[in-house]
Amino acid sequence: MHTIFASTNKTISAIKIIRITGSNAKKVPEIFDFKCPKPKSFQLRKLNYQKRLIDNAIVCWLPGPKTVTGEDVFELHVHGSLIIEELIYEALLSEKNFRIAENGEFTKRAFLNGVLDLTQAEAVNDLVNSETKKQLDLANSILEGNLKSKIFDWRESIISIMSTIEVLIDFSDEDIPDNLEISINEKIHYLINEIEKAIKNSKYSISIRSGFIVTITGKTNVGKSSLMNAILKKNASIVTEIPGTTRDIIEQKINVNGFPVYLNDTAGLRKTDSLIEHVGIEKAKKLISQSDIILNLSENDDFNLPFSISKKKLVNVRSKSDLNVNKFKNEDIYVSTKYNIGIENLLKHVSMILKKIQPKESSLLVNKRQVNSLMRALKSLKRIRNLSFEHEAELIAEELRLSLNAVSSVSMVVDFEEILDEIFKNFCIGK
Amino acid sequence: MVNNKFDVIVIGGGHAGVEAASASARMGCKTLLITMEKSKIGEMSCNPAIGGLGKGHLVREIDALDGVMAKAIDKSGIQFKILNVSKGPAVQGPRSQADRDLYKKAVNQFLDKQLNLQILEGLVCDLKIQNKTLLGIILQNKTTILCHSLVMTTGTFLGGKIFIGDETYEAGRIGDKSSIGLANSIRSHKFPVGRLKTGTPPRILFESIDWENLEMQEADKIPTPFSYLNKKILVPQIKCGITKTNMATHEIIKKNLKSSAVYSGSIIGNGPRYCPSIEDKVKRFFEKQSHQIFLEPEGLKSNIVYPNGISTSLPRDIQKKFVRTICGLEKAKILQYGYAVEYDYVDPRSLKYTLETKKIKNMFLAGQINGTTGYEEAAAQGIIAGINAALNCNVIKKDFVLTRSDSYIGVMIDDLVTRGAPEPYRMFTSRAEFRLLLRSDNADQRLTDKGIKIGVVNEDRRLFWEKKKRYIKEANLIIDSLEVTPRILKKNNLSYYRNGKKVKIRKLLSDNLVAIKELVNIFPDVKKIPDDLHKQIETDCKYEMYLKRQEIDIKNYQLEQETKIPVNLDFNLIKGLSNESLEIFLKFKPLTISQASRLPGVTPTAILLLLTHIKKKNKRRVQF
Repeated sequence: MHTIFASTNKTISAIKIIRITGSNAKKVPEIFDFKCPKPKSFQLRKLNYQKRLIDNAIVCWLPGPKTVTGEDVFELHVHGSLIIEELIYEALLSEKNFRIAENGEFTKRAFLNGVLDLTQAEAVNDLVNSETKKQLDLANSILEGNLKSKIFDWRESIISIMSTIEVLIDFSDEDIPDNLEISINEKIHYLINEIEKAIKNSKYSISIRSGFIVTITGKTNVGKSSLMNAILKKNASIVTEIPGTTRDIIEQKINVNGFPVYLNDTAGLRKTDSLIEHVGIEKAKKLISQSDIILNLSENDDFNLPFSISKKKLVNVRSKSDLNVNKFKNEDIYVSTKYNIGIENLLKHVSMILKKIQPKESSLLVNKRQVNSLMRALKSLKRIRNLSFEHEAELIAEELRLSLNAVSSVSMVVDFEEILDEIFKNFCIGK
Repeated sequence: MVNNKFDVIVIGGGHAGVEAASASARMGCKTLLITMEKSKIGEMSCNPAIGGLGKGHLVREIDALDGVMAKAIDKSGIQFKILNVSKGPAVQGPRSQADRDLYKKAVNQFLDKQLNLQILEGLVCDLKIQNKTLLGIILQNKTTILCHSLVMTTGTFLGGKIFIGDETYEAGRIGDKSSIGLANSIRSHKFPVGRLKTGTPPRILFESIDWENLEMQEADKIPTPFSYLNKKILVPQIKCGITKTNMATHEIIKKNLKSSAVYSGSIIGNGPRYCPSIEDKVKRFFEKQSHQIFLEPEGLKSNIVYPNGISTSLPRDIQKKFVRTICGLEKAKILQYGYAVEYDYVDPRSLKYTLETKKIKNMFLAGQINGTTGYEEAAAQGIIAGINAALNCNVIKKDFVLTRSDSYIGVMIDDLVTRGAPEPYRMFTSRAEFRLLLRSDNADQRLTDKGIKIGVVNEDRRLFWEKKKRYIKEANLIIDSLEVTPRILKKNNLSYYRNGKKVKIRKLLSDNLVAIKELVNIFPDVKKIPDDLHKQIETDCKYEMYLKRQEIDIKNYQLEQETKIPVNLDFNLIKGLSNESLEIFLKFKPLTISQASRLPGVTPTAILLLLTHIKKKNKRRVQF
C-alpha cells in the first residue's frame, strides 16, 4: 500500500502541518536529511532537500500501530508558505510509493486498520463539518464509540438468540430445557423495541446533524420577509409594501443557540389568480408539512391557517409589535423588526422547542445508511413474530442471520469491496 | 496376486477408505484397497448408527454421488428415524441404528461387485516419496507397490493409544494393532501433526438388562430410506430403551475422576465437545441431575447393547459400579469396557480442497486422520479424496471441489482446510450458512449432475436421476402455469386469501396454504405430477422466497471463491501487509480470497491488499 500525505490547508498561513502515513513514513528523516527524533516527541529539525534548506520545522515521529491511522505516521509542522509546501511535496513525490492522499483516505486507513469502526469514521467527517455545539457534541459522542458499543450490544444479543435456536435445531434429540422459547421471545421483543426506538429517534439526531427546518408563514404582508432579514441580520428576502412579494422559498442556514436550523421564508397565504404566486403558495404548504417548527406571523389576533398543524410545532408570533405595544400578555411572542424587539426572545423560544422535542433516550443514528441497515434488521426481526418455534426454527434462524448481517453492517463492512468507496468518497477533507 | 502398479491405492478399510476405493474404481481407475484385516472392512468401531442432524445430510450427499454408505445402511438399518420431523425439512435429518454385521456384509457386497477394485490384506509401514512426490507404498514384507495416487484413511490407527483407567496400550481400536511405522513416516515428512482423543462406552449383555422397566423408543412407522434409489426398507425394525444417570451415578464418577485417563493427565489430545465422555458431562454440567442414555441393541441377532451417552475411560471396576446404579442396568453384565483412544491427526490446513496434501504430490488424506469424528464425516471425505485421486491419474488434471453453497461436504472440507480441527470436527446443520438450500431432500438435485459429469455415477443411477429430473421439471412447469381464484378454493374447502384476487399456485404452496394433492380435483393437470415428488416440490416452494433472498450472498461467496490465489504466490511481495497477516498467510497459504477472508486473525486490510496484489499480477500477465 502507498504511503500517503496531505497538508492542513492550501493557502498561505502562519504554519501548516503535513501528515504522512504508511509503511514508508519512517523514511521521512532520510528524505529531508535530518536525525529522526525519539517517538512521540516534538523536536526542531532542519528540513533539507537537494542541498537546500527548506525550513526549520517541528517534527514528530509516531510509529504504528497506536496512531491515528494505525500505521506509522510522521508529522511536519512547517511555516505556512506555499513554496515550502511545494518543495516538501516534490521531495515526497519523488520517492517510490509515495502519493498525495485522496479525500478521506486517512480515515479510510484508520478504518481498514481497525482503529475506527464505520460509525466512528463517519463521525470524523461530521466532526470536521460541524458548525454548532449540538453537532459537535453528537459527532464526538459517536467518535467516542457510543453508537459502536450499542451496535455491539445488539449484535451480541442476536448472536445469543441464534445460538439458542441452533441448540434447539442441532441438539433436538438431547434433553434441553423447555423454557428456551419464552426467553428467546423476550429477547427478540426487547431488540425490536430498542431498534424501533432508535429509528424513531433518529429523525432528531439526523436533524442535529443536517439541520432542523423552521418555516415562517402567515398571510400576505404581515412581515415574514422582514422577520427573516432581522433574524439573519442581513437582507436575504426582498421586502416591499406590496402583498405577495415573496413567491419562491428563501432558505438560510443559521445557528440557533447551538441548534443548526434551516430558516425558510415563504409566500404569504392568500387566494390568488397569479399562477406564479399560486405555485409559491403550494410549495410553502408542502414545506410547512415537513417543518419541525412553524412561525405563524400575524399583525392582529387572526392566527387562523387554511390547514391544520400540530400545536407542538406551531409558534404564533405577533408582528409589527411597535404598532400596539401595550396589548400583549406575558406569554405572547411578539416582534418588531423595525425596532429589533423580541427577535432574541423568539429564537430562545425556538431553541426551547427543539430542546423539548428531543427524545428522552437520544438516538445516535445520524445518516440514511445507518437507518436503512437497521430498518432491514427490524424487518427480519418482525418477521420472526409470525414464525413458529416448533415448526419453523430454521426460518427463524435465517431471519436472525439476516438481521445480524444488517445490524453488523452499521458498524463494519459486510461486503467490503462495494460499500467502502461509497462511504469515503463523501469525505470533503483529507484528514 | 497383486500387480505391481495401480492407479489409486487406498490405505484403510473404514468408512473413508471404502468410499474412496469405491469412487476411484467407479471412475475406471485400477484401484487397490489395503487393509490390516479384511474381515474388518466396513466395521462400525463405535456407535452402531448412521446419520443424524447434519450427518444425515452428508450421507444423502454421498448417495447423490453414488457412494456406498446410504445403500449399505438401507440394507442394515434396524431403527430408522427422521430427526426434527416437527421442524422444517431443511433441518430434518435421517438417522438409523444399524445391525453391525448386516452393515459390514452390505459394504463388502458392494465392494465385491465393484469392477477395477482389488483388496489386499497387509500392513503398510512406509511411503515411497521422491522429490515431494508420492510414488508408492512399502509393505511390512518389504514389497513396494507403485501408484499414481494414494489415499490414506488410517483413522485412529496412526500412533493410536488406548486408555482404560491407568492402563494404556498401543492400538488403533480395541483388539487391533496401531500403525506406528506409518505414523513415523508421516512425522518424518514434517506434516503438522496433533493429538486428538475420542471414547466409547462399555458394551452390555442384552439379557442382563431389565427391559421391563424401561421407556422404549420405536422406529418411525414407515422407515425412510437414506438412498434416493430405494423406495422401501425391508429390514425388521426394533425398539431401543431409554434410561438416565442419577445422583448416585454422578457421585461415583466424581469420586473417581482422578483415575479416569482423561483427567489423570495421561491424555493430551482434545476430545469432542459435542459428544463428551460421562466424566466430562458430570464435571462440566454439575448442576444437571441426570443425563439421558439410549440403550441401542447392536443388531437383530446380537446380544450386545450399546449404551449411547456414557462413553468413559474410567477403570474397569468403577465402570461396572456406576453402570449398575442406572435404572434397568442394576444387574448389567459388561462385555467390553469403555475406553478412550488418543491418536495422531494431520492438521487439515495442510491440505488442498481436493484433500491432496500441499506438501507431497499425489498423496490424499481422508477421514479421522484429518481431525474429524464420525463415520459420515469420514465417508464424505473419502468419496471426495477418491474422486480427486482418480482425476489425478489423468494427463490433463482436473479438480473436483464442492463448495459451501452446494453441499455440506463443501462446508466441511472448507472448514477443515481453512480453520483446521482444534477439536474433533463433527457436522452440524448450523455450520452451513446456506442451510435452507442444502437440504437432505435435495442432495441429488444439487450434486448428481456434477457426479455424472465427473464420471463417478453409475449408469443405473444416472438413468434414475435423469428421469426424476425430467419429472421435477415437468411438475414445475405445471405448477407455474396455474392460477386460482379464492372462490374456487373456497368451493373446494381449501384455505384462501380474502383479497378476492387470482393467485399463483406456487404462491399458495410457498405459503404452505395447500398441498399438491388437494389441487388434483381443481386442476386435472396436477395428476401428472407423480405422488412421490409431491413433498419435494412442496419443500422447494416453501423455501423459494428465502433462497431468492440468499442469492446475493451466494453470488458474493462464489465470486470470492472463484478469485483464486496463485499457488506459487510469494506473500512476501504484497506491499504494506502487516507482519501478523503475513505470518497467517505464509502458514496457511490460502487458495482463494474467500478462504483467506475466513482465516482467523486476518484483517479486511490484508484481504484488500491481497486482492489488489493478485489483480495487478493478473493484469501484467494479460499484457505480456
